[in-house]
Amino acid sequence: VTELTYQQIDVEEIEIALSWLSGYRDRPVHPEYHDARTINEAVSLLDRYGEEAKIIAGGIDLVGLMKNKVLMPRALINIKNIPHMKYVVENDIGMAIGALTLINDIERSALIRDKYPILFKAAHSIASPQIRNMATIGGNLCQDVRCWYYRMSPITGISFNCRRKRESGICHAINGENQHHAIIGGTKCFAVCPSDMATVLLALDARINTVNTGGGRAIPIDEFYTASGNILEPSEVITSIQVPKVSSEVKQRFLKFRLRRTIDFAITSVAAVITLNNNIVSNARIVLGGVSPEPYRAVKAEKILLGKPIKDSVVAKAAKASVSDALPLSKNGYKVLIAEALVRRALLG
Amino acid sequence: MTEQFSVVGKSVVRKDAVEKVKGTARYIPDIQLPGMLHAKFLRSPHAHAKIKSIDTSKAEALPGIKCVLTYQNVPKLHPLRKLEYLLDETVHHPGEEIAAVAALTAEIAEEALRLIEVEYEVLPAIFDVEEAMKPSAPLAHQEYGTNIYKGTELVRIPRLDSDGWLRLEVGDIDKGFTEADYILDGSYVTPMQYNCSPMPRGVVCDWSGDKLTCWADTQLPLYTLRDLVNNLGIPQSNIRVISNYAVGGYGGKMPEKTATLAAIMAKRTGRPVRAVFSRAEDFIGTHHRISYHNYNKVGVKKDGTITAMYSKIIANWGSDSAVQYICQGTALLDAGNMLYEWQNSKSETCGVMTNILGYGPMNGFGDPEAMYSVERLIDEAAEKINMDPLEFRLKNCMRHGDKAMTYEQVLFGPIEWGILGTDLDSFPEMIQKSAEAAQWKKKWKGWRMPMAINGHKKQGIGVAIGMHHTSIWPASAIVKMNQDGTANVLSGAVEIGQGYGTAVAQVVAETLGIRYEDVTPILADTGVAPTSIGNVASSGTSSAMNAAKLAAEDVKRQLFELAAPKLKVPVAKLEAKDGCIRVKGTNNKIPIADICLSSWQITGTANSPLYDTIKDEKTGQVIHAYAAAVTIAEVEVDTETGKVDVLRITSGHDCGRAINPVIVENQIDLGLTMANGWVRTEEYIIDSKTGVLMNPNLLDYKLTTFLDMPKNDDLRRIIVEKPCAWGPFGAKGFSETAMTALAPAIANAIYNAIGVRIYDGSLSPSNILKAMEKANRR
Repeated sequence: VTELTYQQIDVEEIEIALSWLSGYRDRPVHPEYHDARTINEAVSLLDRYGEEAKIIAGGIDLVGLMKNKVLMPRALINIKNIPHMKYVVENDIGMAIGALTLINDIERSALIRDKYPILFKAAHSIASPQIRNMATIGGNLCQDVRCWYYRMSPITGISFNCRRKRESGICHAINGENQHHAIIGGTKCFAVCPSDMATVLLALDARINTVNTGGGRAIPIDEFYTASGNILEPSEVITSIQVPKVSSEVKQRFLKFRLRRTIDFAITSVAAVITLNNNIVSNARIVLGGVSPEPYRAVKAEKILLGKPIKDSVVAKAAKASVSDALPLSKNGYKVLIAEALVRRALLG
Repeated sequence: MTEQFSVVGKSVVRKDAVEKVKGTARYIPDIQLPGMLHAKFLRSPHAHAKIKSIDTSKAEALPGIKCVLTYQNVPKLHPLRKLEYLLDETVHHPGEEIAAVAALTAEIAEEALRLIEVEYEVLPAIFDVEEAMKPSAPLAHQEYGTNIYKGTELVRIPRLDSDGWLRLEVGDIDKGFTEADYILDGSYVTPMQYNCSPMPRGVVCDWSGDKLTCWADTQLPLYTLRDLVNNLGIPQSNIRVISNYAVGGYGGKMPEKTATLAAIMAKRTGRPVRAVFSRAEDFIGTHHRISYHNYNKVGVKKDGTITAMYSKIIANWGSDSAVQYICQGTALLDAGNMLYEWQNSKSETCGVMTNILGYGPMNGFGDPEAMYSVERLIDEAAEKINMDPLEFRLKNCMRHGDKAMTYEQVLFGPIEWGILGTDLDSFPEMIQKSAEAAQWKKKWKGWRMPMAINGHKKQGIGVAIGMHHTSIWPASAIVKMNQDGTANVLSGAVEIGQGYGTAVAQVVAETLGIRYEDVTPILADTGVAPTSIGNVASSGTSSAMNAAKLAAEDVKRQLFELAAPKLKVPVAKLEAKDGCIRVKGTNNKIPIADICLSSWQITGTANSPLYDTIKDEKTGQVIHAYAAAVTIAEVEVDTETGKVDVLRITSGHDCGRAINPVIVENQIDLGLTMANGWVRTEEYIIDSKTGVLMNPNLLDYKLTTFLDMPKNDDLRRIIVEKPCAWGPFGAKGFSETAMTALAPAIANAIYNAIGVRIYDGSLSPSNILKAMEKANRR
């Protein structure tokens, strides 16, 4: 009995401390948690909190950001339990993937393995089996950058006033440790888009379907990303991804370069979708991952390929053109060479 | 040979296997005590700064906060005899602890850190070791007066020269270079490395009156005890350090000042205090394998004779060192006279302080850092005289009777060379067996002749040898017989995942002729187990386990004395076997359980001696125990992306006697994995402006995974057993040698593949592409 009383005192004191802290910081120490049952409920909850609420599904990216105090949301809105958002189905115009579909489900889908082998390959390359079994495709598309200045855990005592966090900040990578940062298209922030799904889905010319308070929209994936994130409004949620039909003759290639054979994000990756007519390229989409704040479509390389056969000299020219806009920083010049080699291999392979 | 044993030499199931696999083992973070508080530490955002003011009043006023410590209310003392104070008014690296908080929950403790207001005066900081050696450089420790460490009142290193350099010379180096046909040299920077235990460090402290119990996740309970005694000013008998279920330290789980801070907070609050690090804190708040800047010069004759070797080792200590010069003492021996018997050598080293993370021991203890450059330069020397690199090593490797010494002599003197024991005659056999297993003769096509070329991918093969001094410390142990004939072995060494608890039980069971299942170890509890250093320098087997073997022999002697009158034969006719004391060659026996039941007091004790007590009969010189290794690596280099894949590894090791062959193989795998990551993927990304470690997490710090090692069939482990003068049943410590040879073997294999040597830092794609580009320009 004495021990119980003693612990009870502690429990009460813990509650007082947390409520004092919530008052002091003007936000709950533990975010309010909402279990949305329908997508409309999720949207209206988002609308109620403005920018202060975050959607949680797999939580793979979000929990890490919260642990490192990059994000301190007032509320979390769980959408995992919303029915009918986890599917891979063939439809008239191609294939639809529900936003809550796990990366693991994508990896195991016979339809995807058969008709969209690059989507399978990219899914299989993501993180580890445990993470793939938690992570959703919607979360993968919306994940935040992996920049070490941005994510530095404050328990280390150190945090950087970073441009991505605040207007007043600067990008410390520009003159700092930029081994993994952008070689193309960096302006204010040089962190790269880490999503492998984005790289492949851009090559496949996918659309992202969303809902928001005003209804919903279909966003072509090349409009979805910006240099500082994505164009989702604070109360907008991805519901599904629509991938166009791809004829079986179309060549699909995905290559991912990383230091370890597993777990790692791409240092550089390439997704190529090439249509040939009588051995002549009639359509080409080449996307580089890990090189730019957005998935980078190598338009110059695509143009070189159009109307030409896939042969060494053409491929070499296209590969060179794919990185011709690169302006590497002090420590990431090696990515240019790797990207060029990957494009060459993707086209010839 | 193993046939004569019933338990030793067999891969019995580990003592801790079931509980660890089932998750029932209680590790330090699992300890929950009533009323326990949680500690968190406020860390410096600056590399070098003085605290102008620190205001903890808000944190102290927060409900749930029970104790706040800063430099103002802790004793001014130097934990681990380091330069820094327990909590310092001046910080010397980013992430250094400036305050400690104990609270009802870890979350409230962390929140309280954000309520502490600190004003700093930022001081000039220095990160680059070469800059730090210039006279005009900012000082990493202003009050110390120089960046070159020369010792303190607490740390006296008698052999340190007045300029702060430690030197070791053999023969006449100038004469040696004059005799050489060729002289080659090179500068090398070795990478830093994180010990990366599967479990971040942690401690729980609990007082009962004036007696402290400290559960510490450490491989050095004795040193933790000694550090607590020094810092708290109470006798050793009043502190009990328990380190059961410690987790893989690889040198890094040494005493941390968090134990002292937790003990102080526990005393002041009257409650148990738990301080368990997160992964980021484990990176930032501890010690590291640091970077050596090595310059090596070798003289070689056309016939492959090495005439002279010079080595200069500049160590970037970071903000402070917990191993003042001792790893460098080892490195001097390595560079000076460990791998090869050199008649003329000179090696010198100095420790330079900067404002990055501090220096601690890690697997190999200076060996890998020294050998990584020596073994690459030796390869260049072999190429110069156009000799097969394996033949070159076979010709020059150390043997029985060659010069040997301990690192302690390098630091503290006197310089008296001993010799290597007969076990070192295993070296040529080991090299030859490994060469056969790797099909060296078939695969080595000559200098600058890749093993295979497949488009832009080139394959190469390379070899290196390694060495480690083992079996250094004395130790004592107790074997306690129970009345049912089972035994407990009390030993101060730690079961830290390496299999000590299993192997020590095998040794005791073998000695007493009882079943392995009937021996239960009680380990790493300073309140119970006799003194042993713990687990360092691969010495668990040869020091602490040897003491256990001798203690079991003491028990056996007592059993014989009790049994002899009953069996009516002299003691000399008895043997211990199958749970009985028997008359040799007859069926006449008494169960050991019966003797134990009737006699209430059978306890064996023993001491294992210090290293320098065994002398060679012929020469009268002290015999030293070194363990040797050879590793052959086969790699594939993608010349377009700079990516290196390690295809196959063949690694020969000499452990004197494999007490448990599977555990020996596990130790080999550990060392190889660690070396593979050290030079290929693991990299310390230190921000050049702030000195901050940018990747204190296991996503950005790229520890290798199973998939980054060759598959099991491509990983050949050659075990050579030639009994050592020390150690139970001739076993000696060898585990750290497993790390030493692979790194240079990979570098040499890369050279064989692409014809380019990488001198500076990691063998990363970026560095390999850069080196190839530079070579192409020439």
